[in-house]
Amino acid sequence: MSIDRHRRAKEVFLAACELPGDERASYLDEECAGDDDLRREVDALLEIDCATPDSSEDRRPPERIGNFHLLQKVGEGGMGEVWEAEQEAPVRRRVAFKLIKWGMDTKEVLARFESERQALALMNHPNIAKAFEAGSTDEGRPFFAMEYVRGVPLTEYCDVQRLSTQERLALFTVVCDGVQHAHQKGVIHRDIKPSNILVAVEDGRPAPKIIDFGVAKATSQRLTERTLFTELGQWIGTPEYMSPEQAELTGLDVDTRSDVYSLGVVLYELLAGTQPFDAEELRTAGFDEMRRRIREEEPQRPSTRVSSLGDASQTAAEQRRTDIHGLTRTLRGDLDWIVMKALEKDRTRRYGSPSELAADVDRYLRNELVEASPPSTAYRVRKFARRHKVGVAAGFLVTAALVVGVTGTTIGLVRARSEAETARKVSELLAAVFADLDPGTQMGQIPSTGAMLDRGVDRIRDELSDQPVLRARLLDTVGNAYRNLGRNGDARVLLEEAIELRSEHLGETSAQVGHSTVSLGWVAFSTGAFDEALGLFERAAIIYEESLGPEHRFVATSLGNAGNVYWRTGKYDEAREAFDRSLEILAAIGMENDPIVVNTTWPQAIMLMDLGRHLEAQPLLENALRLFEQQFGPDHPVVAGLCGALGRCYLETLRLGEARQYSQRALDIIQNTLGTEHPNLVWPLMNLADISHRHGDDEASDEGFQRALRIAELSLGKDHPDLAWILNPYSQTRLALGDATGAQKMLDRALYLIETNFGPHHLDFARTLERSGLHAYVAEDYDEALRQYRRALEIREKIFGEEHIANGWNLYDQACILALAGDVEETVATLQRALATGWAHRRIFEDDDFDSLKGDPEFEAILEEMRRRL
Amino acid sequence: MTTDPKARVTEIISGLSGAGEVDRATAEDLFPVVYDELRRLAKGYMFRETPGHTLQPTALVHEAYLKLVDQTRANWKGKTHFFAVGARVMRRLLVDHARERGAQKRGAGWQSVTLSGALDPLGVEVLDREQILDLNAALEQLAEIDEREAKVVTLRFFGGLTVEQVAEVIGVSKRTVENDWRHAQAWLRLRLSETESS
Repeated sequence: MSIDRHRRAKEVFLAACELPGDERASYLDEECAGDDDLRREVDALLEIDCATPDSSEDRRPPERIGNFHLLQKVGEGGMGEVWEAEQEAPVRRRVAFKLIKWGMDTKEVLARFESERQALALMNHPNIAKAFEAGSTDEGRPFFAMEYVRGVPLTEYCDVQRLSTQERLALFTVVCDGVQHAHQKGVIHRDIKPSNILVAVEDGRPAPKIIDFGVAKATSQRLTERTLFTELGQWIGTPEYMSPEQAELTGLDVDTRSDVYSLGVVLYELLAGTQPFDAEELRTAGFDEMRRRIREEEPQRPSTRVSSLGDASQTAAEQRRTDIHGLTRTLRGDLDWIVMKALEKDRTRRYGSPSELAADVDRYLRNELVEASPPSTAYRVRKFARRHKVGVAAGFLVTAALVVGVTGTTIGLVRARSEAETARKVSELLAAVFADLDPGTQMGQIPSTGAMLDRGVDRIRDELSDQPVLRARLLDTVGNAYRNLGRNGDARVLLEEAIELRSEHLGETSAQVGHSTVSLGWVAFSTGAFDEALGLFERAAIIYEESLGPEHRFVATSLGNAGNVYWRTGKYDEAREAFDRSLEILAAIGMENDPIVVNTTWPQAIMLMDLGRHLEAQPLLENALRLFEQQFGPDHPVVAGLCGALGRCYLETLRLGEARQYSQRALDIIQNTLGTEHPNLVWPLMNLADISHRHGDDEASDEGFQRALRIAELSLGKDHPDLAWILNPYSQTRLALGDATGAQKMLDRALYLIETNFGPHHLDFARTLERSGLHAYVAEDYDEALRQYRRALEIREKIFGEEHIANGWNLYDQACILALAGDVEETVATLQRALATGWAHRRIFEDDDFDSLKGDPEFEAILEEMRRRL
Repeated sequence: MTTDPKARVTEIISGLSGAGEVDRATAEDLFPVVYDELRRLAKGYMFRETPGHTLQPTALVHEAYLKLVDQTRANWKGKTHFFAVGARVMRRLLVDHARERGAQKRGAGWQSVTLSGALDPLGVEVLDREQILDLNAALEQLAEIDEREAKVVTLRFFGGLTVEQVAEVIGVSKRTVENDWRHAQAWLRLRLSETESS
């Protein structure tokens, strides 16, 4: 295209943009008469422009909207624009008319406003501007009509009037009263900032009025939207006043104390002349970084901040009719602590309400002792620890908490209109999903996450039928969420659909197909479809190799996953190979000390434990735990999983104290973070039940196993082979309680599950036979006991070969039975075979099964050898 | 002139004043230092990021700014100019990287630690190589027929400058920047969708 043509098209395009939709056509007809190319270009540009959600901001609204006559624009913000308007019916009055920007779901906004209308109507306070009405324009933009306040923002008023610190504080307590009133009526503001606190002068006295109550809530999905809508560069809105829990984004957890935080920021600004976080920096730092700072970064105290601002400090001091030293002195101490207490990251440490904050400010003004105090060292240490808690699980091994991660990107522009469309759809979906989480709308009843997701799926299916890539992305997201909730059947359907769509539209070897394939692999794994899982993980590894290169961490994690399946299906050599290769790749790209290695070392450790090599497994697990704790803090679900595994490891090496300690810790973390029904609870529960059994408390043990079994059956289904892991030790507790029939039934069920899933040559099958033999031994049925142990040994020898340490305990147990049966010769021979595997354990010295052999020279020789080895 | 990059960059940008663009010599002085720093930062992300995290070029430029400029000596204008240079560097970096990856794919094997590891898998939907190159090509095409508009895009998009900042850097009115930006978005999307479908 020539420069001239481009210029002409641009000119016509921009002119057309200024016109209302119905006037465009005639304008274009005229301008492009006889120039079809020009018309085509401009039409195409306009069409794209309309589909771009944030480009239509500048369009002037019509003069009359419903009963409102728009007079003049008085403000503009992230959410839209504010007009001074005249309402003509039912009452003639001046109103502030807030027109929300494009891109919001109007119905949603109005419904939210409606839900709070009654509460808003109950508010009657001189410091609160009344909300009159909400509606939508013909074009579908939501609007709000509110009491018109002829005033200036709080900070501006204070600075222009050069109010002293004392005067500012007095004014601030009035603002707190207003917010307190709203809270008592059940309304949270959610967007308190100086520009929402206008100061009018009434009878010569300043009268602050808080505006926009009800608006922030109605439009509160804007936060999710921002993540996606600001791809083109900048933040809109006011992150500086946002509380840490709001920055969490889920909207899950906002209560009145969030307003207390925002009031704290306002107070900070009133006192120090600047906000706790540099506004400019927050905005340019990127969304994730901004959120991180709000959640984690400790702001400087006002007194410190004010002395470090150079010229700005000078100005701030002058505006408070003092000098920098005077101002610093005033702020240092009580006022610092009051502000910092309002700004606590942990809301339980904040003032409980605006009136408590106001009361402390009053105490300061009356020279009384304030409640706020400098933080203790211990507290700071704790705070430091918390800083490292935030993070996402590096591996896929443990189904972590629900993370609806929608990846936006700054460079999404190039995704052209489809990306903008994606953003809008995702945000709408999430807004719809999260709207239900809003504690306010549900009267304290929070709908289950599952119910929310179900609703999300319905919307994906209903509304995205013609957008396969986007649909795939959302299906994948929600599929993973289901998986994390243990709803594997639902997850499978969605993930399969996602793979199909992504393969078709993004290419069969795109990394996205890899991601969905891995997820589906875990679904298959969790439901016992091991062959399928293996195929999927290996397929994912190949896809990643193709799309990301052979030495990529995703290739490594996929191999680790494949190793895990190999191990589960008894293919130890293949498993070892996969683990080794995975760790090689990670070492080659310098990630050997990254928490991501845990994805591989964890199953590797479990395999070692499975092989009886607990002492080798232990350092792997300890190291993994250390890596993870360092990076993700003490309450991460993976940390819990590792604690559970380590608990088992200690249990097997008879370090029962540590076993109990780690298992209990795992249990606590999981219950606190994932709830009391989560499948991850199974392992620590079993450990503890096992320990109880060993301590002779079989009632507690029974209870623990029962709970573990119930949870496992719920999430894995009743036909899953892993149930055998619970049934086996559980049967022993049942036996100890005198329920031999029940115990046997459990073992029969375990054998059946293993055989139908893995066939009769699986290690788990051997283990269950051994347990069965043990029961026979307890019942003094030595022939039956030996029969079971020998069948088990055959399987073991097929898997490990004859002289393998994994066969040691089997042989030892056989020797015990033989000793009790009185067969000295066979006992000694069996013990020698056990020794030949390299096995050794001090239990033999205390075992009274061998009482009859004491003094036998060959037996003594065996003891001697054992002593030497230990 | 000093060899410490931080002191040097601070010196360069705090010497800037007045409206209009950073002059060519200054920009060329800054470019390699900023390039190195951005490249290093992007690489660093490879070790830190976790799935689901998004790498934002504008955030990177910001981080480079904090690293390279002595905050106590910087002023608002200097900062704006730094971001203007950062935007161009970011664009170059992404394009270089995309080309490098293309070359590697055809060539013998991969280097394990290159920018490729840092930028691609971060966001699942991050631009792929072709898209970066397509965007770059479209921007080059735009620069031929409307240099200022292409500049606006680079600054807004790769540097995250606000409309005001762009206006400051280029020395035109805010209104002009808004118009350019609005047109550019539609124009680029149109060109890219044509590329995609062809």
